[in-house]
Amino acid sequence: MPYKAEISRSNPTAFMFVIDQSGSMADPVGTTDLSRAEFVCDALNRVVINLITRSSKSEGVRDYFQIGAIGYGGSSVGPALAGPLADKTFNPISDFERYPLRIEQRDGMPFPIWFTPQAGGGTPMRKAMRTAAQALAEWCDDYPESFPPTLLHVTDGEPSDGDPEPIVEQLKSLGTDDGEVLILNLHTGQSKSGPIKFPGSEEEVTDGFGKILFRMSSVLPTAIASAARERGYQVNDNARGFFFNVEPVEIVEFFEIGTRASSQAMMLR
Amino acid sequence: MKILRSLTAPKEPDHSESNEDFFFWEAQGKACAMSDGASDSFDSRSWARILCQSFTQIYNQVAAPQLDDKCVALVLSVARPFFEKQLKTITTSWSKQLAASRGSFASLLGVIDEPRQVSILAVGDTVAIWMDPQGQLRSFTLRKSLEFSKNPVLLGSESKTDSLLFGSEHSRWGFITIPKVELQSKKLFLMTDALGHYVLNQYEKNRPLPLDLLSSMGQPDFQSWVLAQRQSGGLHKDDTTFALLSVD
Repeated sequence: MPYKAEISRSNPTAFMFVIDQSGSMADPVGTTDLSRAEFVCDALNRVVINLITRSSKSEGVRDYFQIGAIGYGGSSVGPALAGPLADKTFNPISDFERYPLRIEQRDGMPFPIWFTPQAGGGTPMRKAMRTAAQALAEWCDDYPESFPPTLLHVTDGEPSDGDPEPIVEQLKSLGTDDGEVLILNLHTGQSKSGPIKFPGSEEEVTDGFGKILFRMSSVLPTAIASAARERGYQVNDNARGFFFNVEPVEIVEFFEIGTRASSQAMMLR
Repeated sequence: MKILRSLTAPKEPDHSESNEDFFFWEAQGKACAMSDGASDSFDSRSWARILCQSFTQIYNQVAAPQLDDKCVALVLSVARPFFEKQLKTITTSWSKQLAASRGSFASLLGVIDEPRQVSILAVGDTVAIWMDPQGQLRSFTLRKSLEFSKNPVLLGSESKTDSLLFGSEHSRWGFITIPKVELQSKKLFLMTDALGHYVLNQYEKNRPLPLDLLSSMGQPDFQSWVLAQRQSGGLHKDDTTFALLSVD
C-alpha cells in the first residue's frame, strides 16, 4: 500500500522545492508593488515555518522532515538557499530552525526568513529537473523505507532549455518502498483563460505548456486529496497535483496542501 | 479502586521520552485518568499529564461527584494555569514560541470509583472497555472501530477552542455511569486509540480479544506484543497505553 509509511526521526520524508527564478518572476503582481518572486519567497518561508512548528516539541525540533530547494534562472541552476543551508542539497528541519537568515516580526510573532527573492535571465527548467532528479535519486537510496519525497515546482513560464517532460518521466520512476516520488506543479500567470486547480484530465487544460505540466504532475494520493477537499476543492480520484494560471497568492495554499501528504503517515491529529 | 496493570509503549521505540500518552492515579485514591496528547501540538505530553493530574486530584476529594459540563470546565480551569506556567519556562526560542501559540491538545478519560458505580468522563478517542454480565463487550465513548478514523474532539490548552467543545462538538464526548454489577469481574480496561481500535476491530470480526493476555503482561512483554502487532499491520503505529482497573 503506497504512501502509508510512518514518518519518524529514523524514517523522515523530504520536500524538494524547485523554484523558477527567471527574469519574468520580477514582474509585479496585479496592482501590488510585490513581484512574483517575492510572493514565492513569502510562501516558501511560511511553509518552512509550518513544518518547523509541526515538528517542534519541548525538547527541540524533531527531524521528521528534510527540505531541499533548487532555484533556476539565467543559465544557472543551484541552491535557492544561502548561508550554511546552501552547502547541502537536503537539510534536516532542525537546521532550518537553527539557521534562518534573519527573524522579522509580523503581527507580533517571529517570522524567520530563509528565502530571498531572485529573478533574472532565462528559464532552464529542464536542467533544474535533472538536478532535482539526481538529488532525489540519492535521497531515495539513503531512505528506502521512508515515505517518498515530494517535489513542489513553481514556475511562471515555459522552459528556455528544452522539454523537461522526459526528465520528469524518469524522475517519476524514482521512489522508496512506500511509493513513487510525488511531483506537484504550480504555474502562476495572468492569462484570461482562468485558473485550473487539481484537474483530473488533460482535456481540462487547453494551453500547450499547461498540458505538459499536467502530465508532469502526480495523481494525488489520498492524503493530499483529502487535504484539498477539506479546503473546498473539487478533487476527483484522478486529480493531479497541478495548479495552472493561478495568482501567486495561491502558492501558500498549494504548498500547505502539498506538504500535507505526510499527515496521515505522521498520524497527526 | 486498584490498578492491576499500567502498560505503555511509545510510537518510536528508540524515543520513549516522546511518548505523549499519560496515565495517572494515586494510591488510596478513588479517581484515575488517561490522556493521549496530540502529536501535532506543542508539548502535548505535558498537557496530557497536567489534565490527568488535575482530574484525579479534583475527584479524589469530591464526596459525591456529579459529572457534567461543569466538571470539564473545572478540570480545564485547574489545568490551564499550570500548563501556562510551564510553557513560560520552555518557550525560549522562536520556534517554540510559534509552536506553543497554536495550543496543545489531548484526550481525557477520567474514571471515578464510587461505592456502587463507576463514573466516566470521556473526551476524545481514549476509551473505556468492559465486558457486561452477558459476555458482550462494551466501550465508551467510541463504540465501533470505524469511529477511530474521525478526528477526535480534544481538550485544548487555550480557551479559544472551548466554543467548539461545548458547542457543535458536544455530542461527540460525554459521561457515563456504570453500575458495578454491569462490570464482569468488576474490571474496567482503559486504553488509548491505537489499542482501542484494535480491540473493537477484533471483537467486530469475532477474533480473539487480547484483554486477558494484556492483563497478564509486564511492561517488556507488552512492548514486544505491541511491536509484533504493528509489524503484522493490526495495530496502528502510535503511542499505545493500557490500564486494567479493579473496582471490587
